[in-house]
Amino acid sequence: MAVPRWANFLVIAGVFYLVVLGLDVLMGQTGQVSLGQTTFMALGAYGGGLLSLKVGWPTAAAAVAALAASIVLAVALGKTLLRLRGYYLALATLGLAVITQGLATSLVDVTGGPSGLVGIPNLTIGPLTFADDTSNYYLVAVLCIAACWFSRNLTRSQTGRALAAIAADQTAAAMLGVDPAAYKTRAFVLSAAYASVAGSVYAYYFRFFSPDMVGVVVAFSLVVMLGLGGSRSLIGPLLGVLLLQLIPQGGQRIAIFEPLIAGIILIVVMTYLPTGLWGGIRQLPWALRRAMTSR
Amino acid sequence: MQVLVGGLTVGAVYALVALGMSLIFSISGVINLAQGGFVVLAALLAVALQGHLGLPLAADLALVIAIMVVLLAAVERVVVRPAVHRGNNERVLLVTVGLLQATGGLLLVAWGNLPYTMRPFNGTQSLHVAGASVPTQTLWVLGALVLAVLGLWWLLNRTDIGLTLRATAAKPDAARLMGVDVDRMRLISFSVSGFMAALAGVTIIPLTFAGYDTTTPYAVNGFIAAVLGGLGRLWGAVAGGLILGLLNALFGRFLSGTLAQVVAIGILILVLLVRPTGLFGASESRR
Repeated sequence: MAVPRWANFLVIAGVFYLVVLGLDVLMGQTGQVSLGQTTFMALGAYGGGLLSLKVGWPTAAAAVAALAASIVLAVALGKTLLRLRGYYLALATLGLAVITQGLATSLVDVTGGPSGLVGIPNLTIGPLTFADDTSNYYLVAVLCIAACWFSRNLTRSQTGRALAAIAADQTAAAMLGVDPAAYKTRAFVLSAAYASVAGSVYAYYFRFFSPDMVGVVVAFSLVVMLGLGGSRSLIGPLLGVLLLQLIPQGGQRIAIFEPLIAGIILIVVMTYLPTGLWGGIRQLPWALRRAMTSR
Repeated sequence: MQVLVGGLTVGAVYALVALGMSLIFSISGVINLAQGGFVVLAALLAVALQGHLGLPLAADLALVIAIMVVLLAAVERVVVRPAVHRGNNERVLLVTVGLLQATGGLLLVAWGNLPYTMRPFNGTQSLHVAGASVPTQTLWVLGALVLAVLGLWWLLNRTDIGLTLRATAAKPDAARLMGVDVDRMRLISFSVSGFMAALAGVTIIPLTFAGYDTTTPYAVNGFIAAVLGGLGRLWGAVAGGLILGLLNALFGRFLSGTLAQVVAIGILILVLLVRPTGLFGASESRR
């Protein structure tokens, strides 16, 4: 795989793709709206960063420790929060996002506060150190491929079918013997794991991490990326991530119009392409046929 | 006591946002996250009209209110209605997120990235009540909330339109079968919430700074307040907003601002866990 010149852009896109793939497990497959991915990104990033920077752990071990902590937290949160439905769950996870940003900002002694945590080392696995754009690009690419493979297998597995049943009608699923609470928690843990790993890689790549990188705005934009690109697919999230990351690249002259353009794109796509961009593209043959045969 | 006053002031703004959101939700099941953006838009409009056209205060306020009412109706017609007809609730929520984003974007294009404020309506002296210094502007904010609540009560309980609105809110499908134009009811609810956003924006702007990036906190806090009070419960929305404002202020006394918000929201999440449909929400037996 050749490394394009925009390797830096692709590394960031890859990190977000990982997080959004995780979100898709929760939102696309299980139908639970969650704004909580940034919480686990923060755990992965600050956890991995702090353990390797201040406690001297090897970076790979620190990332794994952060992942373990994320899983534990996800289990605890899942058991309590996933009892809520619909907007109330969205609100609780929004609360998580606000709390995450708030704690990252105010626990200055631990996280470096608003100015962030500096001096995080690059990731080292065995003899390999991922210091530059190229190596991180390959790392992220491998992780994304692994995540895609995992997600695809999940969709086609019994667990995937259980999640789909819960997404369609939780009560009916329960009557058919699917335990919604257990499966929802599993989905939550899985999405947390994706986010934690992505967060760790993010921090190791930039050698820096700040509360803005896991703020409420980021939490919202993750959901936007998923909705825009199309959930329940592998390419949809990728499209969403790329689109949202590309808009700011448009250049200085249109920089002032970016939020407006992004908002309008979101409105238009969500209204006229409810299954997201990828869903719309997939339905193009049928839409064309309908347009041509209805006279 | 001083803390209470500050908390009530901010809480009143949250309450107005939450009230708009709750009203729209009760009629149409749509959560309009863009309410936060409209508050800031109203505030900046007031500043601009006063600055560029040199309008006297009363005319300025009246004009902003009129603009917001018409604008929200247009927004419903052009943006929300197609989305509601074509998609489900999740999609429409994302549309309102896009609307919030677009509003912020519009503010950036039209007003730039600097914050704005306005002179207080009655000058900068403060009243002294029970040992606290109350800026006169605070009374305007609280007065706006009272006006909004009373106005809404009158609309819903003393007019025919209000009766139709309440019926639609209770059972939209039944209302549709009875010949009610639900689209029009939704439009009215959007206009009314535009009125409230205008009230909130113009009364709070002399007390704070507003700019294109101050929309998110109002949207987030308004949403939290609306859900906390029980979605669709109008008194709940008011209570939710005031409680959230007070909690923020109380904790802000002892902790840093951000940490205070963290604690306040943590408490609210706990409340949600105990009462999953909000403080005053109906206990739902269906999903």
